[in-house]
Amino acid sequence: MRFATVLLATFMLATGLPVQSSELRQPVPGVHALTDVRIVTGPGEVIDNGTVVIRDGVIAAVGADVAIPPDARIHTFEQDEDQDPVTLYPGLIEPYLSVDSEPDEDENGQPPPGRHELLRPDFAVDAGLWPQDRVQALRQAGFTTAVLAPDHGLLRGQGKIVNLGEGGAANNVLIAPFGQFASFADRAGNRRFPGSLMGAVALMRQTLDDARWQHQARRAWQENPAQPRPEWLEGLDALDPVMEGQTPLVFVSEDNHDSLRIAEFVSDESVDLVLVGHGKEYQRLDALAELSLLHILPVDFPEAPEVKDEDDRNVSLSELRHWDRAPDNPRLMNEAGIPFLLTTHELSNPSAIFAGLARAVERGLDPDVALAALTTGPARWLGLDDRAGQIRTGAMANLLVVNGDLFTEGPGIAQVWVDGNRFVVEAIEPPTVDPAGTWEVTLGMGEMGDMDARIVLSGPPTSMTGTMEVMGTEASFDEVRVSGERVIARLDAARLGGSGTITVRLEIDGDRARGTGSGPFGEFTVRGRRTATPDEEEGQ
Amino acid sequence: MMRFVKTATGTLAGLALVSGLALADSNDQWTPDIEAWNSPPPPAPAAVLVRDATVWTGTEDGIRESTDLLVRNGRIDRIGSGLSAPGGEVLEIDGSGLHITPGIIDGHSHAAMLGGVNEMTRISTADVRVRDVIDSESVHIYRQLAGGVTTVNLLHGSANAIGGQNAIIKFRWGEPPEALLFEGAPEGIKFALGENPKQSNWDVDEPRYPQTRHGVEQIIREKFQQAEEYRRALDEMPSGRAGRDRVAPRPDHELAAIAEILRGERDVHAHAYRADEMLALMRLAEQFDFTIKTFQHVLEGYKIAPQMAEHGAGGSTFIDWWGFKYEAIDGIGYNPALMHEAGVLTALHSDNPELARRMNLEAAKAVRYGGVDEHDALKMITAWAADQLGIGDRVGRLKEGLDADFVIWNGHPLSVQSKVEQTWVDGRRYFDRAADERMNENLEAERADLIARALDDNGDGAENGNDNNNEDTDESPGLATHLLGYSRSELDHDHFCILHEH
Amino acid sequence: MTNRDSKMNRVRIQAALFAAFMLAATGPLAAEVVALVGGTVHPVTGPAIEDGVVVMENGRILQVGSDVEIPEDAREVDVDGLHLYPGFIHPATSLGLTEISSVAGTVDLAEIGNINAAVRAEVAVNHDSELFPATIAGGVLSAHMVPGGGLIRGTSAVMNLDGWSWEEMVISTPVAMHLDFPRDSVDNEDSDELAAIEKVLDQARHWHKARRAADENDSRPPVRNDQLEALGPMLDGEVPLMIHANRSDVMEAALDWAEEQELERIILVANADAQYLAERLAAEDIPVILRNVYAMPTRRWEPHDMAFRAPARLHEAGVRFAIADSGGGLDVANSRNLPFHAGSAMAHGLPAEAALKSVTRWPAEILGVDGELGALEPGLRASLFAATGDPLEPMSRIERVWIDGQEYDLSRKRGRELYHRYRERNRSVRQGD
Repeated sequence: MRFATVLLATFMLATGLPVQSSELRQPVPGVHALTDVRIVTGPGEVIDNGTVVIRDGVIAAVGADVAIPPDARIHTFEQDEDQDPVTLYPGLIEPYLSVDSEPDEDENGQPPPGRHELLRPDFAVDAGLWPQDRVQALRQAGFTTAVLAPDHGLLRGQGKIVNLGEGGAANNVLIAPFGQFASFADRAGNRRFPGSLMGAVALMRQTLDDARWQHQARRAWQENPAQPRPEWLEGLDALDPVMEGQTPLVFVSEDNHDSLRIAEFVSDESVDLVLVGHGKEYQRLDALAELSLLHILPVDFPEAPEVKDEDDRNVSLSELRHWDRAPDNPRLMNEAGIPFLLTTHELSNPSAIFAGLARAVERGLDPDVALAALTTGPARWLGLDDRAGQIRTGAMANLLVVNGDLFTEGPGIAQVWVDGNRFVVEAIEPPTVDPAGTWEVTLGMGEMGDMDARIVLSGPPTSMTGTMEVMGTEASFDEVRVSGERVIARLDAARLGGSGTITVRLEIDGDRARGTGSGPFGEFTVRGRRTATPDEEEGQ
Repeated sequence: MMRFVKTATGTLAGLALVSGLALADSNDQWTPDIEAWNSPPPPAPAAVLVRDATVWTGTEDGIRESTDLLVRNGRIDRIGSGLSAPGGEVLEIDGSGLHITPGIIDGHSHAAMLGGVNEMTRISTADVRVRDVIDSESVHIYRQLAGGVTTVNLLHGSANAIGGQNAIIKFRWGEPPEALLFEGAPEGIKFALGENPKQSNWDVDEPRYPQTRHGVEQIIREKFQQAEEYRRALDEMPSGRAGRDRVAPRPDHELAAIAEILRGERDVHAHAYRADEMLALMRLAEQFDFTIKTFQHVLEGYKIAPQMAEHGAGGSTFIDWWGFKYEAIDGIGYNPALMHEAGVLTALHSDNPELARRMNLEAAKAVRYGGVDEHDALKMITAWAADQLGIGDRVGRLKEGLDADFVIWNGHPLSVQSKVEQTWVDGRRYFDRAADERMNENLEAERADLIARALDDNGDGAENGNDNNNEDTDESPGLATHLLGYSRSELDHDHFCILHEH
Repeated sequence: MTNRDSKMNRVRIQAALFAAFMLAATGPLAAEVVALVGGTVHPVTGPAIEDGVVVMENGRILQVGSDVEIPEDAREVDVDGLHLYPGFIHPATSLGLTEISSVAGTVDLAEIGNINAAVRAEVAVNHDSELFPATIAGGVLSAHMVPGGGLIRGTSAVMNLDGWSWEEMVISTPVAMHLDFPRDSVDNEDSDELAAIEKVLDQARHWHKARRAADENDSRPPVRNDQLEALGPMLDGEVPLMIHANRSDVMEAALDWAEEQELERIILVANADAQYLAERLAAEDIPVILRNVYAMPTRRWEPHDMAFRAPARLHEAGVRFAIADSGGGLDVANSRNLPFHAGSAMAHGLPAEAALKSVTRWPAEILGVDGELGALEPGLRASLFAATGDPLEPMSRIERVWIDGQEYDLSRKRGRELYHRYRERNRSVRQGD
């Protein structure tokens, strides 16, 4: 066991070496034409068969009859008549990508004099906090732009608007800083203020008044030094742009009580208040409609509560009700005239947003409203409507290529383009093999040698689950997909003691499999055989 | 029992009965829900006339038999015999055999608060406000309406000498938090003396000052002095143009609230058990020239009742809770009788959401212990409780012009055999026994339907992420049944609420 | 006024206290016959008798009725205008084991460890607990003291609430073995806690088998084992097993388990959820000690009064039950409020006669002391009280109390003493103004 841990640790450490998929060190040509393709240029606006020309990260032309420049690499998406058309959509925008901003505990755990650990309006999400894993996952779900938001404290600090390309913050920042993020949810701990919700509200109220006071007091002292110097409250000056409405105050709401509380708390008209919602807005629509605040809504509709039988008295009615009604939330918000954007926040895998949206659309949500809440809506909120949220000339070349429709349970997102760079996601096809069973495989890690692993897949090919066991440690896959003859399985490397995502891609040929994998430690090969099928296992 | 009649000219009477029935039907179909957000507001009839009931007025008019009560537009319009119905639609209720009392007022409650009852991290948290955390979804509201409670005083806990600001709310079940606030009620604040603020029963690594009763008294005096200085600094700040280049005192919400106490703008409700600590606080208040509005719990109030009466402090007490900690060993059931006899404004409170549902029986025990007059016993949960909160001019009595907050009982309101039939707030019927039955049937049916569908969904094979679906886990029975098998909420109450913090 | 008056009063009170002291100190007066006359007698097992008589001798009831010939040597006590009832029996409490719940040194309730079969509650009962006089003043004259620690908690005893030692106060012991049924066994077939219980029961069966074998064959007996020995009477069915459970599915699982274990004498100590299995409890004739009528529903969607209604539901289904309070925490000091639980059950559908029985006759039957307590009948202990009215009604007052035929001095309750003292003091202050 100990040996295994050590070995695993070494395995993870090797990740420090960046593995470049390309050996080229100089730019490649940046002119592309995506053609013979259906184009949804924006919500409700469709070109049935057209072309998009990209030049150096910017959309150079869009239309049904666009001439393809001679220097363009041509990407054609012509389909047979019996196949779903391939469609281009504008890149999706994630308006609230929370970034772990909790500071590492210093030795005594105490903030410096004059500061409170939960009040950090001057904090900014910096390049070191670039959430590479989430960026990748979002990109695979079709998102090309996001707001990075600090997630720790009451006054949490400032965010950044970024594209979701490679190269970290340096290559991707659009606007910084952006907004001030806040919440009443955090507590200072056991016996330190605040230890309760009402304490948190009181601290925030005091802090905002302190910020106003500091503004006045410093100016007064500048004008008239012949008086005691006011104490210096570090960080509070960062609230000035919020108080003056120059940048939004994005308040994360826990529930309807919280939403109403926040609205009352921030009654100052000059503050541009935006709420990150909680999904139960449908329960207090009237009160919320009166506020007419922009909401950022999660799409994390709950699974059916586990019920033993008809007489199960331990199942909560509230929980059953929310399960039943949650998918109505976006539609009801729309009908109540409350503006909203959509977020993948709270979803462990951003791709799950589509299953949620499919349910919401089934319950009557207009798909164009949903698309707007992921494209033009956030673009407008972020002041990017001239360059994001639509496929149009002059905009950033952020778009996605989808086999079929976007608002289906598992849309076939084949490619995502960010700033004119193409990321191939997966060609999604219906399963043509049934890989259920136990697979004994060998992971080939180059110089590090081989490692044995066991992969167990179960369930029907359209909704598989599975586990992977490496060196005596077993972990469940977060996602298993079968596309054609290929299996793509992902798991959170944290389950094996590392960080990041481990992805395995297997080509199935009868009881043989071979393929590749990638993880925080780099790329590896996979090959092996099926040693048991589910039927055999039952028989054992 | 109930019907709408249109009182117009005699020739219309026949017609009125027909249309009246239709109206009555819609009125009788109002069904509440057990989640506030899903509970429709009860109808607000322009006029309600209860005929021929026994009316406990809570005033010098005493208990009036065979009396009518007329409500118009949410207020009590008239009380008398043979009242004639006003024009327009009138909801008439045959009150024969029934008793009507003012809505019960609970002067000490934590039943509808979110995110903690105590901000226990500092010895003074005067800047903390209960009104920021009112839980309009608390099921206690509905359950207490079923026990005849219409107004409660939500208090901060008792972990600190100077606690947070209280919020008085009306039980308008279904409304969002802001709409529950008792508009215009005096501002108040919680204080606490004795074992709780001195952390006697806490398990703390780093004790904080104070750890004694005299330390508690001292720190309160110190805070009063600071608040005076703060106030003075604010007053000395020149206003307008003259102040533009002057550094103003940094705002301090804690001291601002304490300064309001000193100026008589904020009522002190002080948790206390023992005579010594209460006497000390009264003397301290007298030095700063204000009056303690009430002592809460006040188990030894009877030992200093003359001094309380002289100071003008009310006593808001348990009728018979005692003996659960050392400072409660001299608690006696006779305390309300003795305080009342000595001229102390006396009321009974719950401090417990279950107990709050049967405050009428607590009042009955004031008759048992010390022979308090029955009508006076009722006033201890209505009129006098209202007076202690400074809202006696709005609620707590059945009197012309006051809010139509009342309870209809199926018998003598202090009898163990009686039940609440209806509870009215602002002239709306928020609890009704028949509507409650309808609700229970609806909930059963809805649950059955949802469970059937969830079973279907579970059957689809997908594994669900939820491993524990216990309703309201904070109330799940006996998560900790290590003693004699009583439930978690009771345990919490014993060990957290009473012993420690509330 | 009146310094003189208050001094007089003080003298009077002291005299009364002295008299009470002497009365108590002399102990039972041998063979005195006492007849309580002029009151309304409520025998519980029969209809009320107006202007009835209760004759007591040697701590027992000699006669009850309206046409009773009062023995010549009887001392007559006039209880005109009052109502005589048998003392209430608290069917499950930690009275005597808990004094001030926040002061650890005064609490002897829950032993640590999972298996405490050999623990006997009665030996830790503080016979001078300040809580007893207060409880007696509420008409609760005897109680079932239940230990509270672990899964197998040990044995309980029914005791008088007055006496010169715990030993003297014991009416019956062991009354039951107590088991806290592990909640997790509902969903978990491999519940460690249930396995621990089963293992001990198996070991106990084995031990007693070995013991019998030794007796029969005159061979070497098994090594002494206090806990396994203590389980013998329960396994033999001599003593019932009281199973504590607080959720309907846990109760169901507990009953199923008891059947599997072939444990025949089961008593369920349960909260209002017991109503959900009323039919089964009636069919299997499993008595219930119902905890706490004054309880909240444990689930939001349940009717607000589900606990108030639980006794009526059990009664309608034909379940034998007794009403208890929560048995711990604040309810220990307020065990005196037990009758009001029954009163509120009456308001919520329990017939008046059943309500009264649920705190007198029925607990006596379920606890196996119906030959001693629970009614006013010849031969039973003369433990009764005189009240101004229906004692399930909080407005009624209890004026006099007899325990085992001896009148109990209600001024022994410290609260009454404080009341009288401070009433005098406050009145004198007022009059001094």
